[in-house]
Amino acid sequence: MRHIYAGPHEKRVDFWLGFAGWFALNLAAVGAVFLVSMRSNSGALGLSALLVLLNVVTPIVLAFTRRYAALGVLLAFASLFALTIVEGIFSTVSDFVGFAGGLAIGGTAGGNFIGGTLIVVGILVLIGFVIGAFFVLRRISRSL
Amino acid sequence: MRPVLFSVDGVPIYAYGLFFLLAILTVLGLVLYEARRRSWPKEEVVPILLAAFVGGMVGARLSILFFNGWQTWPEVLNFAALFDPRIGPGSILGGIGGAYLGGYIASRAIGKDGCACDAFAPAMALGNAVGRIGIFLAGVDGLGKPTNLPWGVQLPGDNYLVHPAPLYDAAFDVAWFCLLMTLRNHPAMQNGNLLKFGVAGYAVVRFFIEFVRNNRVIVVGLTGQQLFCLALLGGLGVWYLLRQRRVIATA
Repeated sequence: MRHIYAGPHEKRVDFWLGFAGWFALNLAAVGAVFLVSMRSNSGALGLSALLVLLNVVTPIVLAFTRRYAALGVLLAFASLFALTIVEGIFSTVSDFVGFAGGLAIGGTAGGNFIGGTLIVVGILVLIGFVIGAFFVLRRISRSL
Repeated sequence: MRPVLFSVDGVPIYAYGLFFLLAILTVLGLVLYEARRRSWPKEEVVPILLAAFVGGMVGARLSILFFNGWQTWPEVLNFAALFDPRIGPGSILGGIGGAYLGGYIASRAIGKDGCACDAFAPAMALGNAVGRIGIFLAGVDGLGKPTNLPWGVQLPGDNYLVHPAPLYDAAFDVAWFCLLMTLRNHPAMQNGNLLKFGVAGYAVVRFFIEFVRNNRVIVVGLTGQQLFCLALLGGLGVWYLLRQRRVIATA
């Protein structure tokens, strides 16, 4: 059932709930996957696959029920993808590289060594990205 | 080949990653330009563009399950790995499919009349051309099959020439971009027809380029990418026939 918004305030609340909720719930879910992985690898893989599925289905369902929450979810999803692409300048070597060495700093994956300078560059990119994202978010929120 | 374009204080700048970013920016810039030219309101531009971007990124990764095999599922269906910059985005064909689905769902959700997707057609062609240059420089998948043709290129460590398949793709994409830009105001190329025409053209050419690439053969000597192109062309053919039947019935 499509929700009818009473005014801009309700739209903004939904938008921010969608945006922040996406990060909060996925962070909690990734933490849960990590905890499960210490006991059962196959269980963690299954849970992670379920998380991917939920992240595909949720914005679609929200789009037809509470569309401003869906917009927030999409923007959260897109901002993290955009950050990944920017970080990829320093680390993406090919179109798909199997996960070879986990996420450990100092390890290797996809033929890359994650060194100290790269971490500093990554943090600088992250800070710049967050500042840019803040202005984009503010503009979208004000236009609702 | 030049997988690492240059280094800044020991930090490598990868050709693939840089050109992928440039490709995304090219698509974004051109879609926004087309949206403005078509007087497309920002209440529609923002959700459709976001949905197409997210759909494209997810589709590119998920399609690897089909193209590279089910054994890749632990990496492909790993949610955290979706945002690991060390793992590349995946397949452009899956990205196009995902972007189309995402944009279509967003259009229906906001109740947009007609299809705004034509704004994406030239952008996708030029963006793909930019991305292919990065793929060529990175030497992805060994570029192509061995050849004796004069324009064959030699990969580091090999003593034979291979097809520069990404450059074939890029050359077609540039030509296709010019054609789509020329056709974008044609009355018959509105309401989604330009995008369907653009995607169909790419699918035909990509089908043949696949014969000189090194992708995994799935069945009857065809790669997953070729099967995807055939399915896409089949789907568009069915859509065209149904539309023709509807036009005749209305008349």
